[in-house]
Amino acid sequence: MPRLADLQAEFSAAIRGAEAGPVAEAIVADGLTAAERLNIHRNNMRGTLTDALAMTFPVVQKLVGEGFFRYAAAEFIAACPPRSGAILAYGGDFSGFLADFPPAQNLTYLADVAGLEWAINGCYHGPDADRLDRAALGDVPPERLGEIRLHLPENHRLIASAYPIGAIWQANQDGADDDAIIDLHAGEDHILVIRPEMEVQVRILTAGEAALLGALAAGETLGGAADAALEAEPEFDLFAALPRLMAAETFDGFEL
Amino acid sequence: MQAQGLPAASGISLKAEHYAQVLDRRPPVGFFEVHTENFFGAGGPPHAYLEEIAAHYPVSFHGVGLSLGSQDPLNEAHLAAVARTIARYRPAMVSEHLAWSTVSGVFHNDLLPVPYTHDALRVVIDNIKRFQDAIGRRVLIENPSAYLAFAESEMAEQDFIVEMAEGAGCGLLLDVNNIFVSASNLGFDAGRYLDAIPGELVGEIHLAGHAVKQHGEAIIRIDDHGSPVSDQVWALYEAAIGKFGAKPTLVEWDMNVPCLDTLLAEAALAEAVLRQGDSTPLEAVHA
Repeated sequence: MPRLADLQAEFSAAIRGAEAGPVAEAIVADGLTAAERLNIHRNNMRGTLTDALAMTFPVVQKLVGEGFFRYAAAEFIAACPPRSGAILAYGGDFSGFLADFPPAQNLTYLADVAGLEWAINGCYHGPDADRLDRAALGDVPPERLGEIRLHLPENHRLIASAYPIGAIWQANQDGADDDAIIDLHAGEDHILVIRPEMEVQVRILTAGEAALLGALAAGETLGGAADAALEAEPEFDLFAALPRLMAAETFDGFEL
Repeated sequence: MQAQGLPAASGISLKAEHYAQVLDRRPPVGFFEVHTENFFGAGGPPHAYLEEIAAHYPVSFHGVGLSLGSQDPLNEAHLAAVARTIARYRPAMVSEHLAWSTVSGVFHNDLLPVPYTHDALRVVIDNIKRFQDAIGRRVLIENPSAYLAFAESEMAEQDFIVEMAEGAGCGLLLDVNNIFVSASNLGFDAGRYLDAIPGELVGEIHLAGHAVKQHGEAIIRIDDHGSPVSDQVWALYEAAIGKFGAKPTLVEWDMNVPCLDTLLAEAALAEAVLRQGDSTPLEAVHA
């Protein structure tokens, strides 16, 4: 193995672990010990990655407090260090890590909130939405509307949780009501994360809307998707839901 | 948005906090610099703003994640993403660091030091050539801020970077704050460092603030880009401009990002040094 490869493997072990180890022998001490000098890089790595996670998961940090967040982040960085220099893409495993993180077990909804924030990050950086051709859609003969396939923007994410994570997320935005009371047992939450223009939107859906959009996103026709929605929510009213979804720029194209 | 090089003027880091203001105010700066990796996404506000800003200013793409000093082969996916981003914007300048960040697939998110050995020099030169081939243009490589020296180093850093630039056919991005920080942390002479650098290799200069920490008896300077440029670094910058002539100069600020006006004021100080091109005392610039 080339000397440089050895040196880099030893250096990595030193700054990812707690001990300087064999690389200390390769470092000129001079005033500061090798361990103190390595510690600067150890702190840089942990500090910059923790800051990156805090940027992507601000609600998780708000829910657990900065101290706990930094501790959880340090454990996460040690267990799941980045595998890529594209740091925008770091944190995809944080939700799964929190689900199994023993000190966070009493916050049952925390992992799902992290999942929502990860979806928001992906949506923010995802491809921009196209523009729905409303004139062309208006030209579709009414008897064929059931056959159209509506596209959701590629940047959208559909999420389901056993906890009211949409309400939890909203209550932790700037300017939200600090006294909001959230019933953790309110039932399953369905959320659409979508960016029709520049701003990411987090929309709480009914079970029927979620089934409709899930089926459409999977390539189902509007007729088929409406059946799925009715199955999920027997009172689902397509003719009320569709104009509402259209007005909110939920679709960015269609096929017939 | 043309690949015409940067003007010999001062520029600032383009921070997300300032996107909207930059477009509203169109401040008189020579160029903006961004971290290439922040534009790896497919769309969204970062691209929307940068596209508009790049229509009005020269933009420099400064990479932080390619790990050119790694013995491991370059990460092909990362290299492809850099090439894609460069092709999309055709920036006025492309730069990266003399550092390594990746070993065995783990990315450390820090610019880690390379030993100044002939073996490491060959690795770095090969990686820079591979980088330049992938994007089809010459790049600048930045000298690191150092907190430690390796016993096995066979040459001084200034000799290493000059051989690196000549061997790879790249230019140098001379970070004057890094030279000062490293000289202080490792006990070398910053003036002698500058003397060893041929001016024609220098394509850009970086300035930034650093933090000063006390470790018992020792002082350690941390290159955190979180404060104004120090007076000693301004003095070294004046010496550099005196030696090299006017060069595109970036004021970096990445931590505790201040208001846009604070960054513009720092850039104006650099501009004053660039414009005078003589040895007017620094106090006059600050006044």
